[in-house]
Amino acid sequence: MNRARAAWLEPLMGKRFGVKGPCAAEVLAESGFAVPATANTWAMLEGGDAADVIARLGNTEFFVESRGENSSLSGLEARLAGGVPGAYPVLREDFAIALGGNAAPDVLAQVCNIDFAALDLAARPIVMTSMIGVGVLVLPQVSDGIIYRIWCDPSYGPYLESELGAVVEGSTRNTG
Amino acid sequence: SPAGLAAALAAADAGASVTLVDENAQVGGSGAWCMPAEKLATMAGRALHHENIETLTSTIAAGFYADRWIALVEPARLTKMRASAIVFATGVIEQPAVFRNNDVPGVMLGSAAQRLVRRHAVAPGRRVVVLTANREGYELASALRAFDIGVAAVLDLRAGAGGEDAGLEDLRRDTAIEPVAAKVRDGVVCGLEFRRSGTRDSIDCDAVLMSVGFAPASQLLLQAGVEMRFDAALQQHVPVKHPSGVFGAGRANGVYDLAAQRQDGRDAGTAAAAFARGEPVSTSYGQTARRETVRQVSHGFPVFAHARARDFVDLDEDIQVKDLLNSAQEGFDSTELLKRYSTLGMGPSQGKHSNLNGARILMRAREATLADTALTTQRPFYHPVALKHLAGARFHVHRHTAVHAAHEALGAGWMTVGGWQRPQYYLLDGLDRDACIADEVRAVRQRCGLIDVSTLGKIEIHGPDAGRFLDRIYTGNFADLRIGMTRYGLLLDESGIVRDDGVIARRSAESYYFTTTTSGAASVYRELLLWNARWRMGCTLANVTGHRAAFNVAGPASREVLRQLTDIDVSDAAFPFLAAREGSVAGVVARVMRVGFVSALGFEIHVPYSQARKVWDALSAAMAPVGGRAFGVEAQRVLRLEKGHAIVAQDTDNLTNPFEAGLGWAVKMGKPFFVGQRSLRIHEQRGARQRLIGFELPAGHSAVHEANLVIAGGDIAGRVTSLARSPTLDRTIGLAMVEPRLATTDSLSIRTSDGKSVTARIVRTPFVEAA
Repeated sequence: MNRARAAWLEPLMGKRFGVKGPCAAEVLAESGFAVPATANTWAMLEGGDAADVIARLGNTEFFVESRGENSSLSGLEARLAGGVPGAYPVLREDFAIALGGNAAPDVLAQVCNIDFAALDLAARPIVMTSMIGVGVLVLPQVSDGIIYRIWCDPSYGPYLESELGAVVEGSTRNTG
Repeated sequence: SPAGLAAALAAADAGASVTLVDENAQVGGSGAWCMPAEKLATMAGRALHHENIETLTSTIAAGFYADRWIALVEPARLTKMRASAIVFATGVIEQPAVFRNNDVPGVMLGSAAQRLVRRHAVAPGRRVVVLTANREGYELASALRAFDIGVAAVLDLRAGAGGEDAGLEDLRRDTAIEPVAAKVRDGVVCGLEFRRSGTRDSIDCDAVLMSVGFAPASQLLLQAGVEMRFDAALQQHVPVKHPSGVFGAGRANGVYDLAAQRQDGRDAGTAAAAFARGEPVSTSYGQTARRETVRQVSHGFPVFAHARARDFVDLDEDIQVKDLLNSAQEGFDSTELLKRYSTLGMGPSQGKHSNLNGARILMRAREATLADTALTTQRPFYHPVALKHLAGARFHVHRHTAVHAAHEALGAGWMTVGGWQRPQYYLLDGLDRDACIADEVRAVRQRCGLIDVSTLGKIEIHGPDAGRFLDRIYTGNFADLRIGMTRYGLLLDESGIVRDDGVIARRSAESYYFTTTTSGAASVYRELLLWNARWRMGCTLANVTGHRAAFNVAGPASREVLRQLTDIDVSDAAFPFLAAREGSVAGVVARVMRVGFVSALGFEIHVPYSQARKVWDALSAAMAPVGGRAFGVEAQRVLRLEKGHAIVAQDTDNLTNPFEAGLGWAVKMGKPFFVGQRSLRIHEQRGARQRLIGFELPAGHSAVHEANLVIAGGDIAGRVTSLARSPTLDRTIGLAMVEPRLATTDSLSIRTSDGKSVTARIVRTPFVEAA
């Protein structure tokens, strides 16, 4: 995908992992993760690059994505596999895609009810919403412009990619 | 409207960012004929140039949705707008009088005449009669004369009218009149016949202009949740309570005098701006303006029925007074029933000009008043919207399993189940659909079959209370389930009705993994979260439906097929029926359950979505040498029917309790509690109202279909819920939900779709025992 285009989509590679339970935050912190303090916010993984994030989806639910090897993550996985009371691993096989370009806000306006322009990106928000009928997680990230990282249930992946692709194509045509 | 303009300016002056929406080509609405032109120009000019106001003309606010979400229909597009606060200054819709021949050309509303004259420079006639019951009628007569249009007379329905005819002294003015009929020549109006003090009179004219009252344009207000009550002094419904952030102003608010309308608008605009800033707003704003200026502008009953009818209440639907009286007489005597019986208000104008008079007629027939009826909330869009505004990309959400491409390569015929695309069957060269399904069934019964069951809901529950939570949710016992074993789970709603089912596996002391039906996955998970939040038990739920794929390898050869690919000991001793094991299948970490839904021997293999194709391909390759093949949903339905298994929502409906569906064995009534238990006790005492039974058709009968009725003693006594041709038995078999008395007989009479009767033999299930 050509990032010079008005809007573009790129698949997101990486390892994904979920943790849920009343002790999830505590266990994550013990495992070396910078746990976001409030729900619906995210933080970068320590020792990772900008693509490695931990998101707090609720008081007791977390989502982690890491592009490369991350020792904290592998340590956590091993620990949880052994059984930790109050913190449970959740299989995350999400379909993941990044949306970017100057026309990305226009694409989002067509497929989603959330006004992403109104978000305070400094607060590192992560949004759980519906996009063309699919429940998604959207993480806006400032990185050479704003890139919107989108995750959804993998069974919706082919549909979301195809429909989002068509809207992206339309926006690209419209904006030249 | 003047009130809307005033509201926009007040809100904008208070610093709010305002969008002014006007359905007219120019802002100002009824101000075009109600206000002095220079005053309107000043206000409109300010609005158009105000830095805080964006103006949308020729734009209709066609629907109000939750959280102040408004659909704005512009000439070339539809905009979805969510506002911090909204002022509705939607005005009123003038209402016609009902009298004989009121449908002929030349009979029109006074406001329509005003528009013709002022917007289009078209005279409504050369010699007009104004039929009125308010000040607006006299203002109309004055306006027409100012445009040199001849006014033959002003005929006032009221007895005590006066003081409104200044400047019209030279006109014929009659009061306390009743219109009898419009006189018609060549299909157009040529005069008005009326009655006054018991005597008949008539006057020649080429237009009859009616100004007898108004109804509030309240559709958006009602959609927004505004509470309205009938004001007898005004003879109009007016808002009495606004929801948060919603404000009303002007004539829809019952304020008619111009200065008061503007004041009402300013009050509403100021209040809306304050609300948008998060400041508290008095709920009594605007009340003063209306109380101080109240006057009756609407006649209470402008209906003059004629013995020879043609007195139209609804011009769209040609509904006359007698139609509504008949409706009331037939017992359709509420506004909602009247509408459905008579089609009042169902035409293009959606009752804007007919609902009020229709309600008046109904209420009088019931010797009641408009105060005794409520306004109907029309669903959005209340105004016709061109389809071009609604057309757009087709978003039909669908889900693919992880091995969708493999199904496609195998020639799957697709069906949609719960949003998923599933193979119905796999097309084989030279065979038709039924033959392909039969072949798939035979493969499972005789050798081995593989089906993609990834669409099943898959939920995990962890925590010290996980077992006790499941005990409260499902009808069976799960806290005592042995680790490494599964048990059938039946879920009821609180009224004891079968809601969903699945298989529950215990993975460890505090961890369970369970399935739900395909279409129930999302709602069951949601419901479980709700119960968990209410009960505050020590457990955590995770929905992994889409993240795990699942395959069922079934049939007598399935064990040997699986044995080649796994490190799990799949021998009967080590992996008995209903056991659950975890290990490697085709090199992928898998959860495997021994199940028997379609065959006596079968294994359900659950693996991560991303590695599912590898497992599917390995299973396919392993079963090929023994003649195994993939099978689809249709074959699965036949196979489970042969085994006598009911499918929730196919063989049960929203009235079926587990005892009736033959699932009583899965209900442990001795437990202290489970959802639906209390209702089930009542069901148990009452006894079953129906029973699910198995039947088979005589050879050669193929005309019976699912949903055909079972007839006993000339009455409906049940219905066919499942039916299929069993390749194993070479017979057509089915399940039927019937009255309990039939369950103990030998045969059933089934009425086919073409009206014939077929006698079916009742048989015990399962139809097929082994394999």
